[in-house]
Amino acid sequence: MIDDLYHEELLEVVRHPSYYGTLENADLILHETNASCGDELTIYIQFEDSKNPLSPIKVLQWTGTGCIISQASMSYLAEFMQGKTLKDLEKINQSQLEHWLGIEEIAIGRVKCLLLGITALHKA
Amino acid sequence: MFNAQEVKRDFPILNRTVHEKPLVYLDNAATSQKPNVVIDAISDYYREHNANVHRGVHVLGDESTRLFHHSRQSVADFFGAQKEELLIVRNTTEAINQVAYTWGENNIVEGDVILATELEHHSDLVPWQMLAQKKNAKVEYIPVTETGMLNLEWLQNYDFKQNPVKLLAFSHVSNTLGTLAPVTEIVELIRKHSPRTKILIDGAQAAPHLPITFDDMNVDFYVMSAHKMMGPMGIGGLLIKREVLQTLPPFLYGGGMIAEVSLETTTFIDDLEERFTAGTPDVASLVGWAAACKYLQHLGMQNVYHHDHELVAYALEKLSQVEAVKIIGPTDPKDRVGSVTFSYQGVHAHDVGQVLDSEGIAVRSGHHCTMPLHTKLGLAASIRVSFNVYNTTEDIDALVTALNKVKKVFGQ
Repeated sequence: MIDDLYHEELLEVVRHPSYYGTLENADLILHETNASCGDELTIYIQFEDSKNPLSPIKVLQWTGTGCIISQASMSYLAEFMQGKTLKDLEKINQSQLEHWLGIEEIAIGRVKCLLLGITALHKA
Repeated sequence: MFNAQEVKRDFPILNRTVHEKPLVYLDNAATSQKPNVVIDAISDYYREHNANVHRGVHVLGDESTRLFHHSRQSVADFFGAQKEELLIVRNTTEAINQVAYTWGENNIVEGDVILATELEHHSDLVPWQMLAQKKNAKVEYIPVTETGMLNLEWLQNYDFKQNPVKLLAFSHVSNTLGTLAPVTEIVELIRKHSPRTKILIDGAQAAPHLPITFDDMNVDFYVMSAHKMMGPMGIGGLLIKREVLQTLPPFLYGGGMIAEVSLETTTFIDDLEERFTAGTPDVASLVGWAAACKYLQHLGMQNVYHHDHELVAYALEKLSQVEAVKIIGPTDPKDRVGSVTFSYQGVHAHDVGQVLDSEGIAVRSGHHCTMPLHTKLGLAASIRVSFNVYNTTEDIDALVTALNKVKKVFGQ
């Protein structure tokens, strides 16, 4: 079962996360931490229309440190969010994240890690 | 000395398997497992003796009241205290809050200093911050060194005349680092240089491992939780020196602690024990706690300490042989009680904890309710293994083997 969780694909994602890096001239910067374990994420967003946060996302990049679940989850989320709007976030739930990560059902103790990226984006 | 393998048989939960592997429970600082005698004492109370205390003239009420007083005496005896000095609370956190709400409320004024430490669990930190905010007082912190020890020199150089310290609150044993505070030296220093300072000791992590004699300690408040020392959850103790207790207002008001009640006014009972017991107490849990005290007394607290000391020393030795492991906190076993904490290079604490769990090993990963300490040490999170009387060196061997699995999975 642990091999399900920490399978090679997941470890690879964390070694080479998608859209990782800061963004100069970001229209919006979000910061989120998981107090219980020290995961943290910073998300940088540039919108098509800089003045309209409801307009499609031109670029989303992110940086962070933390456990595999939170970092991998954010990486998949970053891939999804390119060109989407913040409203499209509603399509993403715990199930979807579990699916991307290739996990059948995450342990209760790791749910916060899984949802860290979504939690940050919801605050936008 | 007792045989830990034999002791283990008294704890039914330790027969469990986890992910089809035998459970290796190394998260005792979070909560301890319970022996059959404690579980039986609680169920027997409900099966045979349950009734409210002090309130009936029937046999069950009588039996329950006797059990209540007898258990209270047993627990007070275990801690070397007088029965009237033991207030029954829910847990350590509630005990400290109660001191803040009663003694603190009536004694802390603007400009006062409350001294805590950088090692403190949030329960011995946040209540003081809140009290200080309310009263326009200040909280200052005895620093912790890089090796996780309290900086005694800082305390020795503290100007008590310039900054009047009304209360010093510190942990007997750190829940995160296992650091054993030099209680005797600290108390002597305070009594000499700042005799009016009240002293509160958080004994939550000391009570399971060290013999404690409250009446010899020359401190004003000592707090602990039953569930960390093989008793049930939901009950703990607030020990208060009689002279201090006599000055305190009741904390909770209601039944059992009153003398006379009319619609206009109420007077409170003189008896100190009853004055601080409002409402129906958790008799079953107190009975369970007394059974846990008896179990520990049977093992002998000196033996309990030596057993823990051996495990701490063994863990420090074996863990420091694992390449990616960095021990956090004191490296000398004489300075450390109950737990060994470490970080694993290149792998987040939660991920290490998850892999260990897959091998049946229960540890704690996170900040252990000591965020300021982790900030000071520059850590986001750490992994803590903590011991009790049923742990063995084989448990530590299993841990080390499982850490090899972490290496395999993460390539670090």
